[in-house]
This record gives sequence, structure tokens and C-alpha cells, in this order.
Amino acid sequence: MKKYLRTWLVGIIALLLATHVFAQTDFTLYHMKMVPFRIYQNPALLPQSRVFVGFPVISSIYFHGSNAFSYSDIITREADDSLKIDIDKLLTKLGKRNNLFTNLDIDLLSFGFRVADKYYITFSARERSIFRFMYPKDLVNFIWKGNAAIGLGKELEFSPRFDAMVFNEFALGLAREVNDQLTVGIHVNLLNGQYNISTERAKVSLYTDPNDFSFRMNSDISIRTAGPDSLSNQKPKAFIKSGNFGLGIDLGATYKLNSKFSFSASVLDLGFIKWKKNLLAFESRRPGAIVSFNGIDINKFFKKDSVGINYKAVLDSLKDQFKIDSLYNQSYKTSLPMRFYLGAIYNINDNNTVGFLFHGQFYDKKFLPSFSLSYYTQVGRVLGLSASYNIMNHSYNNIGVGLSLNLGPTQIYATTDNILAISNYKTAQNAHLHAGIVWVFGQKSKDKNKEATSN
Amino acid sequence: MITEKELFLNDKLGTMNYTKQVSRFFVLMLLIPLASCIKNGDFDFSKVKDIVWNPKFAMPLVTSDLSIMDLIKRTTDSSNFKIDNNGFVTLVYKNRLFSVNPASILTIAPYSYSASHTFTEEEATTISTLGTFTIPFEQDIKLTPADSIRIDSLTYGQGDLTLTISGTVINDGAITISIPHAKKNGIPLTATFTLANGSKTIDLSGYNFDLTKVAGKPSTFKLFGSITITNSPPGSIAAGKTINFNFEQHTGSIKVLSGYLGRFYFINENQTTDINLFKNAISASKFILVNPYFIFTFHNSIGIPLNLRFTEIIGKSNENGQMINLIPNPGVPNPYNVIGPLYTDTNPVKVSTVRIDNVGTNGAISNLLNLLKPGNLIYSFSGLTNPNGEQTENFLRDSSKLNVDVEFGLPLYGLIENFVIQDTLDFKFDNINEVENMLLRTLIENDFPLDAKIQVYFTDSKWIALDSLVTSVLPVDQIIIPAAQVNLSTGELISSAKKTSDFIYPKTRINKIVNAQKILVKAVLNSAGSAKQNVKIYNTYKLKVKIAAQVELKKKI
Repeated sequence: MKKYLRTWLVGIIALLLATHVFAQTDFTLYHMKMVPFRIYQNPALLPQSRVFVGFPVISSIYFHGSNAFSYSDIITREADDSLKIDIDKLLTKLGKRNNLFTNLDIDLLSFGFRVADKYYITFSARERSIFRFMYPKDLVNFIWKGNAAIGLGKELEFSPRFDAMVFNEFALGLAREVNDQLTVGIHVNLLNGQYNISTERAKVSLYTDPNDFSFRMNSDISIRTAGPDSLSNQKPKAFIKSGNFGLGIDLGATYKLNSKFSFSASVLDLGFIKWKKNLLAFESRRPGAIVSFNGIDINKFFKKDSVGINYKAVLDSLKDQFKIDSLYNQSYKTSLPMRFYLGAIYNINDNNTVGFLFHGQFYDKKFLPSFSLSYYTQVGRVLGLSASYNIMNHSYNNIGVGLSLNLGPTQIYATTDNILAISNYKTAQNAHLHAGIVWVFGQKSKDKNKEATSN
Repeated sequence: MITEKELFLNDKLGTMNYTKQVSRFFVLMLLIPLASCIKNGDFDFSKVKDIVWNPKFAMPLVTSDLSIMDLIKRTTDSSNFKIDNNGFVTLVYKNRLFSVNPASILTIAPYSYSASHTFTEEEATTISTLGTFTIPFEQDIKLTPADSIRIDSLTYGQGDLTLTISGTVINDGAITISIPHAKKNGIPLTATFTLANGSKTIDLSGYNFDLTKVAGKPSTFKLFGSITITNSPPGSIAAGKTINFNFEQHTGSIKVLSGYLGRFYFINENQTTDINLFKNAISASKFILVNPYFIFTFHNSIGIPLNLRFTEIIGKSNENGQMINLIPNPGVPNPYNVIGPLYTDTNPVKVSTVRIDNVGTNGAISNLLNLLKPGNLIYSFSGLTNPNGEQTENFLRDSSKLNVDVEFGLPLYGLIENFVIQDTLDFKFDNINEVENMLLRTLIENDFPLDAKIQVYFTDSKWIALDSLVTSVLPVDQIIIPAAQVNLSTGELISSAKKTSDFIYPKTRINKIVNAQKILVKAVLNSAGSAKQNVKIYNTYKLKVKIAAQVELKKKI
């Protein structure tokens, strides 16, 4: 049992430690012109190839995760080579509110082609998973140290936020070169929701009176879920038609100021999913009520017909204060996690650029900014290399690298926004990988290529 | 001179060199992480040491606002309370001592009458010639065996008269019975049966028998009868043939009876009651109330003069067997004539009470109560009917009864000194091995003018103490519930007494109670003030009890 618990705990830690980036960024890839899948970050970033085709799974695998602490923040190696899980150390690293984000996007099918030299039409089908979890430090502190150690006479905030969704995205994209300077693009996304857990409200707090240890509690929870009860219940047709439909759009634009400078902007995941199938919600029976718990009646505590002191009655009474009701079939709507990019490029020459990128997203009533400075070089039409320095969620040690290699029509690419996470995995809080094999055909003429470079 | 072509090539080559260098740099950057493989064992879960979870949780356990009623009900479930307009509390114990229903125990012995007739030659000839012949008879039936008891009137709840015929006569005929002074709805009792061997029954339920109509014979009624024989079948009667008949009267129950039922003892019993207030009391130096009392209540619907004698009202100590009997004291009306109903009363239940109070008995009840702690009360009575002989007409109904109830009243005004109560609980402390430290905190706010020293013992199954909650020997620490300050004459609360007590259990003490199986709670109560003045208890007084705990756990996970 202990081993199981340890395994479980370390497994969770191993999952979490990899990351600390906030949102679904793809910094290093953004300015890698050879890779057509830049369109996922900005629909106006036209691929260099006239046609590209991506096959299921292998063409684009995107993973991105971020957490508030790293491996070394919680695990240390002892002199006897054993591993010690140090929650006290972890607590010194946690902020008041801590986030765990992961994203996994897998291409199911994608292709694009240039039309009449000014237009680029794309289609993509992706399975996207977005997982966002906010956990307050007080909650970890309470579980680990107990209210008497940290919280007597103090309001402890236990309000977590948990949002996760898995959906299929069928995107039809169109980009147009309006003139030599401006290119605009749009993706219209039809969304098919598979699973969702979203926290509509989660306000839980505890105040322990330092004198009589009485509790003053607030519990206002509303969590909504949708999707098949279990994976075994999932039917193939649910992939196409789950009954949870949504719409989304991505907008993008690039502007070439002159031969040296160009700018870009995109707004992504503007949209919603209406969840209507397999719904289950959990709501506090007394939402928002401030509940005081002073103990139970003395006659129930010292009950004659039970063995001695009735601790269970105390816990039962306490539990009654936080009754959660299960509600079925209440449809609801969730917004996609809207985000945006602002980019700028300085062209050193035709093959070398320096890029700046700003990414923003709102979550848990907070604006989450991140920045990237990158360098990109391209060797002919064969090799593209990029390096980036990224600042994400107060994490400053993120060095990204990217490679794209065209072997005939076959393009292999791989990027990460935090290469140090591999060598410095013990201190890394971010993990990112975007890789795949895509087939690209044809190139624009040199002049056009220049314009594309400026993008 | 450098041609444009050369410039282009140089430029291209320069760019290529530069690109090559950068490419190598990036390839190197990509290879570094691949080369720096994850250290062996960093994710080897089997190497993870046990995690020691060592939290400290605090939580409230108990909160109660207890009035005197709540406190006493915790020790008993049979007591009642009387609250006067000022909120002053009297604790009341009510018990039914006796319930007597004379009609249910009064019996009238069965009465039977037998006769026989043998036909002569002349009677047989008469039947043959005239075709019919009648044999009349009559009989006085007395329902009491002696004249010391007399029944003038009797209405049967249940009863019957059975006629049995036997003999050698086979002629047709009839037998007729009549009791002129037995009436039902004003109609005298008559019955006619076909003459045949066998039994016939007359139901007497509801018949009222007037037993005064037979001159010189009290408690007697007269029964008339006749047997008529016809010459059918013709010639069947003959001299020497015999007819036998038997009457048997049986009384099932009496509905109403009047007369004179004589002198007899209808109660001669004793009854013992517990005083639950002392259920958990084990000793006391003093438990003195200013004016405890007894009220005996008689609900009487028996139409017989009753005289009741209190034989004993004894308080007996369980501690030493010592007894105090109230009877010799003044203030006990002994004997007591219980008021009864008149026959004409529409409400036949007459209620009378006898109050015996502390003042009337010169403090004997207070002394008795002080002796009881704990103990019980023994009540003995004897009751005599018609104590002065026949003076009034007695009557009984089937519903006539006498109930004797007692109310032992304890107005909570007095003083207690070292009143020790004790209670026990089975106890099992689950998962105590994981408890590193424990703090038990009591927060008391007391309105009562009483203080309490409290001790809790953790014992094994043989009541051998393993540890005690209060370790301090200082009296001030032992008083967990301090007495409030009250106006002793008016009882008005001046200020509540508050006290917070912490009981700390480090691991060494916890280890002592690991095997505890029982908890023994002992409290020593005292009235407020060193002078031990009498104090009053009001229903507005509350004992606010809060118990909270802080537990430090240590557990390997």
C-alpha cells in the first residue's frame, strides 16, 4: 500500500515537475518559416510550400505543460541514494495560487494549398486536450501541516479551479495576401466536445478559531462535467458526433513594415462549446452559506450506546455541512481559452531573422503574459534552425530550440521551448515539444519567398 | 577585379559558412540534452523513502448549552420538572404506587338448586284423561354466604342461569322460569323451554336483581317455575316415571353492586421507588434541600368508605443501609379517610391529596433526602373499608377503582457539599498509535452557583486506572467548572464563571491509554461560596460546554 502510495505520489510529481509555462505557447515554432503548422499559432503565417499534407498522428504532436514547482523542489537524493519527498521544501516554493497546465494536440488530418498565388486554403482535424488546474498553497499546506500548524486565527483559502476539456477541432482556414505588406488569415473551427470538467464556482475557505478551534467555513462549489461515463462507453460515432457542438475562430495578420521589420498578431480560440450530452454537475447544497461548526451536542458525543467517545458523529456532522448534490442533464456552455500573440521580426538577411513574441491569456481572473526572443536561420530550402529565450510564468530559464529538415517532400521538424528541461529536468518547470513529419510540395518564387520571409 | 559572379559566390559562401557554424551550434544544442541522459534512479519509485506525515489538526468536538433539565436528564429519564413563574425549578419524581379495582376481585359463589318429581298413578291418570298436568315450584336464592355482607342490588356484567333436565319422562311439555325482581330494561326475567332432557341457559347479562324483596332474607331473590306435561305421545306417562331438574347460577362479572360490603383490608402492600437523581451518585457530605415534599394523590371511584394508613415512608441509603421513616413525624395525616363518590355523582372519580412537606415534618424529609444519596424510597400502606361499620350504602361499579400516586418534589433550593457523581463509558481509542501529541481543551461558561471538580480516569477492563486526565493536585486546577456569581436571595445571575482548561497528552501519556477500555468520569459538586449558603436553581441558568482537541499525527505513508 505504501509503495503504491509512493509510486502514485512520485508519478504525479513526475508529471507536474516538467512544467511551469502558463498557456498553450509555441514560441520557437512561431518564426520557423519552413514549418507549415505555424498556422496553428497565426492563420496568416503562410507556409512556404504550395501544398502540404499531414497524416494522422505523425504530422503534428504538440505537448505543452507547466507547473508551479520542479522535481528538485520536492525530491532530493539522499546520501544513501534514496529519494526523499520533501513537502516542506515544496511549500516554500509554492505561491498563493499555483497552476498546472497541460495541452496535448494531435493532428488527425491536415492539408493546405495555395490558390491563385494570393490565397492559401487549409484544412485540419485535430484532437485537442486542455487541462488547467489551479491549486492554492493553503490547500497543500492544510493537508500537509494541518490547520493547527498553519491556520489558527487565519482564513485559509482552499478554492481550487479545475478545467479540462477534450474536443475535436475541424478547421477550415483561409489566408490572403492583401498586398505586398499585409496578409490576413482566418480559421473557422467546428468543435466536437468529447469530455469536459469545468469549475464554475469553487469557493472553499476555512477559519479556525484559535481559542475554541471552532470552524467558520464557506463552501460554494459548482463543477460541471460532460462526456461518456467511461472510456469503455465511448462509441466510435461519438468522435464525429458527440452532441456537444461548438464553434471557434482564429484570426491572424502579418504586416511587413519594410525590408527589415515586420509584425504579426493573432487571436486564437475565440469560441465556445455547448455541452449537452452525458451531463453531471456537482453543486453545494448550501451555496455561499457561511457555516459555523462548533462541535456536536454533548449527548451525541458521549453516547451511551456506542463505544465511548463518538468521533464519527463529529465527522458526520461536519460532513453534513458540506453536502454536495449531483445534478443531471443541465446543459452548459464553456468558452475556449482565448489567447493571443503579438510578434515582431527583424530580418538580418534573407536567411536569418531575430524575432520577438508576446503571448497573453486570461485564467483564474489573471492575465498570464509570456515573452520570447528568438533567432532563426534557414539553409536553403533544406534546413531551418531556431533558438529562443522564453520567459514564462516568472520562469526565466527557458531556452528553446527548433529544427526543420526537408528531405525531398518530407519535412521533419521538432521544436521545444525549453530544451533545458531535458538536461535540467530537476529544476525545470516547463516542458514543451512540437514535432512531426509533414509532406510539403512546391515553393513560391524567390520574390514571394522573400515576402514570406518577412512574415 | 572581382566579378559580380565572384561577389555572389563569396557572398553565398560567406553565408554558407556562417550558416554552417550556426547549424552546427543548433545541432549541438539539440544533441546536448540527448547526451545528458536522466540520471539513473531519479525516477526509480522504489527508492523513495517513506514519507512522514506529521500534521497538526485542531477541531471542535462538543458544544452544548445545558440547562438544569438537560443535566439531570442525562442521568435519568423518569423525572419531570416544574417551573414557576420566576423560572425556579422543582425536580419531580412521580410514581403510581397502587391501583385497586374491588369489582374485579369481588366474587359471588355459584349457587345451585336441584329437585326431582316422581309421577304417581293418579298423576299419570290425570295426564291421560285431562291431557295435561302442571308441577309448580319456587326457590329462594341467596347470593351471600353470611349476613355480615349484604347485597341489595346487583346488575350482572356477565352471568347465567343454567337449567338441566333429566329423567325417564318422554312426554312433550314445557318448563317455565321467572324471577320477578330480576329485570332488564324494566321487564322481569321469564323463560320457557320445551321439556326435554338436556341443558338450557338463561343469559343474565344486564339483569338487575333486587335482593331486598324476600322478607327476612337479605341478599336473596325468589325464583318461580313450573313444569307442564302433556299426554303426548299418548299413554307414555306411567306411575314411577321421574323428572329431575337442576338450576345453577353463575356470576361472571358485576356491573353495579350496592349494599354493605363489610370491613376488609383492600391494600396491604409496599412499593419501592428509585430516585434517579442519585443514579450515578456515589457519596456526598451534604445534599440538603430546603423544602422537599411528598404529595400523595388518590383517585377514588369506589363507593365504599375507605380508610388509609401510611404504614411506612422510608428512605433507605444504599451506602450504609441506614433508614429514616417519616411516619412517626408530625405532618403525616395518619390514618387518612379517602374521599369517595356518592352513587348519584355524575363524575364518580373523587380526587384528594395529602401533602407531607419538610416544614410539617420538622425537617424529616430533608434529613431523609440527605440520607438517600444514593438510595431509594419504600412506601407501605394498609387500607380498610367501612372503618366505622355500616353507615352509608356501599356501591361498586365495574370501573370503580382507587389509584394512589406519589409525587416526590425536590425544589432546587439548598446546598450540596462534595456531592460525588460518577459515570462510566466503554472506550476504545482507534489509531492512537499515530497520535504524537494531543491537546484536549475544555471551555466552560457556567451560570450555575455550583462548581465541579472533574476527573476522568482511563482504565483497563478491570477498572485499573492507567491514566487520569487532570494531573494537577492544586484544587484551583481541579475545578474544571467554576461557580457563577449569583444574588443568593433573588437568584439573579451576576456574572457567569468562565474557565479554559488544557489537558496535554504527550506521547508518553498517550502510550499509557493505548490499552484503555473504559472511561470513568467523576465529578465532585459543591454549592458556591465557602460559607455553603443555600442556592436556587433557575431554568435560565446554562452551562455552556465546549470541548475541542488538537492532535498531532505522525504517520508514515
